[in-house]
Amino acid sequence: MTVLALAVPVLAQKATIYDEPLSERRVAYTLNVTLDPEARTVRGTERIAWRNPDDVPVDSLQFHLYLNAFKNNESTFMRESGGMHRGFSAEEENRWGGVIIESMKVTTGDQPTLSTTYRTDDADLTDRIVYLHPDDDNLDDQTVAAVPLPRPVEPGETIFLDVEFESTLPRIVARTGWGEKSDGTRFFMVAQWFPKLGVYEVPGQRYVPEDAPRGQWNTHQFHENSEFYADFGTFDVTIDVPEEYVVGASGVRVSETTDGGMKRLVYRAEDVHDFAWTASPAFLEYTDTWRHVNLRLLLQPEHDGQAQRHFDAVKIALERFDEWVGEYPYTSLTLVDGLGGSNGMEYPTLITCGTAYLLPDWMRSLEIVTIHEFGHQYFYGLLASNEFEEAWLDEGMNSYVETRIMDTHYSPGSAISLPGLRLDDGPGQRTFYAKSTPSRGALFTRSWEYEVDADYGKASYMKPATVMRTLEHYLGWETMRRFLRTYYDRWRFRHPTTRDLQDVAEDVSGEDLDWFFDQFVYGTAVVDYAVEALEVEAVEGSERYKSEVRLERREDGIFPQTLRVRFEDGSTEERAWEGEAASETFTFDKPTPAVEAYLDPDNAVWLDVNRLNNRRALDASNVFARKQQFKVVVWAQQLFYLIGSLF
Amino acid sequence: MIKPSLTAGISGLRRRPGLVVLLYATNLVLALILSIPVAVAFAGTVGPTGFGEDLAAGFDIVLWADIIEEAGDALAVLFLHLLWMVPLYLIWKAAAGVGLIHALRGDQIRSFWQGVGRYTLRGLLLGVAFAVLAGIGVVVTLGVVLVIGAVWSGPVGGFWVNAVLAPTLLISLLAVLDLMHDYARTALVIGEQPVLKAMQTGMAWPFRHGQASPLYLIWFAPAAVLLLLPTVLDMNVAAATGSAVWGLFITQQILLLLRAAVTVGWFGSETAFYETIWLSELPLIAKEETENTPETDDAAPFSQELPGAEPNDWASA
Repeated sequence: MTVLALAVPVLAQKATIYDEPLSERRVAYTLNVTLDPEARTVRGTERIAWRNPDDVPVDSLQFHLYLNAFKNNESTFMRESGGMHRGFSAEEENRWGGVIIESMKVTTGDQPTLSTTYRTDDADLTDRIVYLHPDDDNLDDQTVAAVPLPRPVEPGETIFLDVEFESTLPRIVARTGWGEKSDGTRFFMVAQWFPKLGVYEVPGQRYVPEDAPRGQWNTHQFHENSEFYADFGTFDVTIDVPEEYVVGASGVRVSETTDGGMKRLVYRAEDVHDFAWTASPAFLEYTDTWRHVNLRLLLQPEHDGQAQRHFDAVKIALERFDEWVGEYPYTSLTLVDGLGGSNGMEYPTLITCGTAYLLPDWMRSLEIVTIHEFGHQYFYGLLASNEFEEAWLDEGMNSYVETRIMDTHYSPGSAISLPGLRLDDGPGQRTFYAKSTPSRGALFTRSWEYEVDADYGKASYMKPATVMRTLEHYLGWETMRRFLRTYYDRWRFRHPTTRDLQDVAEDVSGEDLDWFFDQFVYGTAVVDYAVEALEVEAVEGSERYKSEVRLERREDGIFPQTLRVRFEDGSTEERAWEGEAASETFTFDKPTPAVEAYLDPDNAVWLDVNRLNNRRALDASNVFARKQQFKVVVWAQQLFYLIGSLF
Repeated sequence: MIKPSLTAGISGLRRRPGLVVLLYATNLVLALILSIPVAVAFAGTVGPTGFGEDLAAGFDIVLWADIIEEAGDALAVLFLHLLWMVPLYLIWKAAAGVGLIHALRGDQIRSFWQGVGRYTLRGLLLGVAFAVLAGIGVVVTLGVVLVIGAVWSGPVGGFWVNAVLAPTLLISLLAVLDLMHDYARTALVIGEQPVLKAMQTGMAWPFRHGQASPLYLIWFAPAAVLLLLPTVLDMNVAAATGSAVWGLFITQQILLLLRAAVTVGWFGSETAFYETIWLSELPLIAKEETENTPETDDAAPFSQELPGAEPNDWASA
């Protein structure tokens, strides 16, 4: 593994628990920036180092300029979203943002001396910058830029660029920008804020064929639903902010100095693929530790009193991910309680959580969001799949583990826990999938290519959580755990694909899982098995009964089934059915009649979109119907008394 | 004056238990009719599956989603039934209100149904007038809430304005209107006042007689508790067997029967309170409005008893 070797300042605290680099570190960023709260800008310089990982020269670089998604109404993000993202929309006043590259030059002066450093006489690249629109031909979108180089970067050679840029932060609509509290206090979530390299994928990496003559840039536009994709590296970031601002950032804080009303903070992050930070004078700061991890919580003052809930949730997540998936290698984690659309987002070693004023204990949204966003340190952070193209690999796998943690630690009622109404996270997500046109939206779909916008959420979060829980029940938890750990061990600090994940699952289980992935990951097969009939008749001339159970497969999805039949004498008998035929009849000839037929009695096939028809009983009681009837009677009586009091 | 009024209310309750049964039974019958489609839908959807006892034991969102999907249309009928049942109930409530006042007034046994027959139409008009007033009041209150919300914005302000202030204001508004409506109705029946005059009397009543509000609150508290208790029980008792379900239901019905009793007692108290004041003020009215004194069967005894009557004598007379 070749690693970019750059000058590293002495760290007060190591960024990871290891001395050696953990990733390939194809990139390195050094940023010196200043936040101007009044102008809502972040202005400064950036030195970018990129090493050509290919065996052939590369003649251009590609950059993400994500902030340009908020430049005007014509960007692809704004066209797709209409300015509304997950219920949040920016207010009209000062809503626009963007990033301007004032200059981009090949570093000629004081760059680190490497034998393979790229050099050129034609150093100024500013005028060479062009915008690309690889996804939708939207000529007005400026979220992807390409820079043809004066000469190609040779294999193994490292190019250093010096960039001067100014980022204007938009009013927060999606993940990034500025917000203002009712007392006028400013909040800044500075994310996707600097010119950032795309990923150059070499032959054999992800879906670039092994025998391709050359690699290719993978740089997608900023879409309504998609998130991000970048290479691992290091970040040395110096941030100047007004003295009263409390700052949280990716990585570890190396130093902090104050001078002339301004505060200078220096951060370093290693083996990560992004760097985000936040600043606000309003933050309350709390700290805690979990093993080797320094936890820092920046909380809005009105949420004071909820710090422990955040720490409890994130510690549970750290514990479980460590046990089930793998080690958290970083030494820091910052939890941010942001404003509006900035919440519920993940960046390396920094997550935004989000709660509500006086959030009651029975409502576990705080825990769900905190655990989910922490989980992204794995599914996105360490296992850095391409979020544009395979969102389910980060959101879906993470939702699976999130629901498992929630349902393990907080059940019953891991999502909502009220007397008489206890809703668990996992079943909630299963239900959302099952009742939201399950035949539409495959997991393996590029995030901007869903025919119906809402299918992105279902196919990226709820359905994969359900698919993976079904796989867990099919393989068994121990195998599933080995699968998760192996996936982590094999692909951490790299860019796994769906195919890679399937390979790991097959290696660990020793089973060809094409039947599963083809149906439920690449395809949209729907599972619905039903007990169509249960019939019993006495066998003439004997004291035996012939019990007949007729099963049906009502949708196109095929999944092995277990049938459990209960007999009048209390005995039970189980039969396996591969579930391929449209229907199947099982006959039991016994001295006792069958009284109940139950498909999937252990509730293993969470993909089954109708569980109610899985069971048929001859001795069924109407206790539920009676109970509901009585509920309605009482509700109606209460309603009558209530409205009657006014008339 | 509160204590005698309370005593009078409870005494009326003892004297006329049939009224309690009538109010309770009417509610129950209407509610039972409403529940029939639900029972049929759930019995048809869940009955044959064998999930009945599991579902009775606890909430299962997966199965509930399946049930709603299959029985949704049948359950929608429930809401269609409300379209005719709620107006019918409101008419009944207007009739029952005046019937109760007529039956509970004074110390004589008067027919509830006579009161219904005599005052229902005017009681209904009065009810409509107060409903309009309530509608206007709600709109104005929401407007006030919006203005306050604009000034006190942000998550903290939003919480206090929307989750605390708005419900408190709305409940207070409706309670005050309910209190006014109670006395307007009483003025309509006992004072034989025309609708608008009765409305005027009712609206002025809590301002003219400070003890009207505490008396209202004393009855409001048990009424609210008894109305909420069945839900509290329902949320906390996991009735999963047939006998447990029946046991829970019967307990809830006892509470709702008591709620009906509170209604009767409440009406009795407010009627007594009104009559006491009305009687004490009658000489002035009589002096000024001798010509206009209504000549009804029911009003006459009070006029005759007036000279020697103590303000709260009527209950024991």
